[in-house]
Amino acid sequence: MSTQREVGKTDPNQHPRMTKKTKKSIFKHKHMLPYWLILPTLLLIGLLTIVPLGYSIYVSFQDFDTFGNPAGFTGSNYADVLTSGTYWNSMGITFAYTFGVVAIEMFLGLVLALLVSKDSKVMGYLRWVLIIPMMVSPLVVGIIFRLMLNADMGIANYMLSAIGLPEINFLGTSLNAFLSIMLVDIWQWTPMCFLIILAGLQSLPQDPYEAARLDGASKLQVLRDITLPLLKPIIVVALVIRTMDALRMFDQVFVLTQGGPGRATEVISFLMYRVAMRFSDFGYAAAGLFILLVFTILLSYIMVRTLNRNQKEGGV
Amino acid sequence: MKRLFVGTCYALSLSLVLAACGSGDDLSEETGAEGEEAPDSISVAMVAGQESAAMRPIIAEFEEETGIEIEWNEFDYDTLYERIFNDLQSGSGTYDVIFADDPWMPMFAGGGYLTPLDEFDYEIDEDFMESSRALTTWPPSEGPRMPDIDPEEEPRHYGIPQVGNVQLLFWRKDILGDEAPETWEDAAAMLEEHEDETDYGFVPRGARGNAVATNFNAFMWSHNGDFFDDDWNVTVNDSEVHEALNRYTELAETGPSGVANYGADEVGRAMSQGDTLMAIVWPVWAETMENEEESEVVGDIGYGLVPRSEDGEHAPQIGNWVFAIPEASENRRAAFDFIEWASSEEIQLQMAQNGGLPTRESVLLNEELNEEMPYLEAVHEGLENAEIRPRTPSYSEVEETIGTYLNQVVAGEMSEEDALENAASDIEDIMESAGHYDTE
Repeated sequence: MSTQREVGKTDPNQHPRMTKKTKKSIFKHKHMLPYWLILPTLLLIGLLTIVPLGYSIYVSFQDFDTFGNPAGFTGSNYADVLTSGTYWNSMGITFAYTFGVVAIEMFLGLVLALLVSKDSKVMGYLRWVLIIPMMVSPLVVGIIFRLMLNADMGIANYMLSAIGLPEINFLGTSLNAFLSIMLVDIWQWTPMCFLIILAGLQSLPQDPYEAARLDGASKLQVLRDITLPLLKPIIVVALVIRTMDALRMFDQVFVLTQGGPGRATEVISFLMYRVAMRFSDFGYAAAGLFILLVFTILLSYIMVRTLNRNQKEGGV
Repeated sequence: MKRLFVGTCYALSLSLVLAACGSGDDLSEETGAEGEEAPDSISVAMVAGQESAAMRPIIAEFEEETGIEIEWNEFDYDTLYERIFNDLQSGSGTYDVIFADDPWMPMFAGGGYLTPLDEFDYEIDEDFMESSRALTTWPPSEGPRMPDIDPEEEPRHYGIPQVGNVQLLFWRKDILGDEAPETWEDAAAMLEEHEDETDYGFVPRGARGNAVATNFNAFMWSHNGDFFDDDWNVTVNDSEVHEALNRYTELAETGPSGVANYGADEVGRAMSQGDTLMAIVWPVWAETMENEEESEVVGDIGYGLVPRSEDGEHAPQIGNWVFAIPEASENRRAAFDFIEWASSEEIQLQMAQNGGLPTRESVLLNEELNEEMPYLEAVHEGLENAEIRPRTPSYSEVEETIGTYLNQVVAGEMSEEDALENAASDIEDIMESAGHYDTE
């Protein structure tokens, strides 16, 4: 058991040979051990993310012929993407969609979390029910909503007309289709914001609340001046995760609208999927997605940075 | 002890990583293409659905006869294309037999990814319907060829047509009568006469891309319109196509309100629920129409030719499934034996009895079979009149383009004129950049 520890304890003057031995091999050096331990993980991450990412950058500089064969290097993929009206149309749709769903999901998630954060049996069950949508595969959710939102045979319009409201052509017009896609996302992913914020709420320190109660603060004041500032780091985490997720949304569009009507719901992932998998222009698709990745990283960076600055300025 | 534990964990995780690196290297060194030695198994990439369900029960016979096991891999339509194309492009030879939708053939055969069947001294039997046979060749045996292909080059067969899919007209014969409408004018008159008897008249497949483009093709071609002339000049804004689109939207107005998002499933459902007088449907849906559990209209549906215009020909779109053999397959001989066996008259007959659609005339016209499957005669008639999609690897992009604009017309968000003008100019750009106008 642990020669190293003995080595550490031993006076080097007494056993010069031992000191020499510890220096000899970095495998046995105490401080190196953690690095060696994380090396396999790093290798794996490198293999599974860095290598494909590098490869996709390589592909983004490659030209492909009509039959999908690589046809030499080209710098024009990025220029083609950046000058394409279709690409910027999709970029606009993707960002409008992302800001819309993330804002609504964060708001609803916060409200729900505040409502059920009290510990009681009913609330406990309610919490379980609220996170169920998140557990269903997005593809399945898409199919179910496609059936429900069918303008002529779906249950949604049947229920609307049963209570005397006008029927809605959910997926058949540009605006409605866009809103329907948002609706599905909000239904499925509000629970995630809810869950993260709830976990944050339950780990907040109780002292400030007691102090506020003694000072006679109203519930609204407590929410505004204590809960929200304390929750800020948690909210940013949820915000970043959801934003990154929403920017690369694919499943709902694939199942519900195929990007239609026209190009009204053609988000970037879907557009590039078609370009790569149907039109075999992998270079163009890689370039387009790489530009999206840059936007995503920038956006996340800004959000995290804003959080950090606020914290340093003595927010919490 | 602790060190031993750490060491073991370390070794284990490192070996995992190494294993992950190494797994790609052991590409099998089986017997070569000429395959003197029969392999233990061959792998088939298949589309999931009725096509596969009709064939799967029969393959055990092949396994018994030859001792070669069939690995039957089913994928949905989009995944199938991705799997096959990745396999072909990387030359990894994962699949020995692929099942390809016919518009994929120019890409696959033209890209040099497939084995020409004359390498096995195969000559395609004239029992296969003529339009089906035309789908498997490269260079194309009809229509314009890409400029870098010698116009005199003899077409070679790169596959065997196996599923004789072709658009049919489904109509309510209990309401509209036993005779299919001959022309679109007849159809429109029938719909008007009986408009109050069901919720919807004609239900178009209006969803974006492939759905609406496919649906509209039958209108375009039967009005003497087409995508291209003989030199690939775009002709989708010609007056014939305008007329066809006009007819299409006129009929679409008798359909449900949400048709801009209707795919094959929605159209099939609208028809089988008894809400609809008429639709253009793939024949595999006949099975659903005649199934008591899924259909309200058993025995009420007529199956026939898609109508024509007053001065045009019937032109339903063909959509056959083709067996082909990747160039990179290690077991090409066995793969060939399998597809030759599967497309034989005897096996196609069994497949048809299981609800599949044959491509052989002798099976399509088999009398016993026709008593059980009333739609096969219509399929035969459809294949005799069928029109094939342009033979260019750029077709999927062309289809997506026109399918996006047509979808906007169906949704009522773009005028017919704008849609066809925009489609024409976009398609011209596609063909230009794909080298269809290159002169040598």
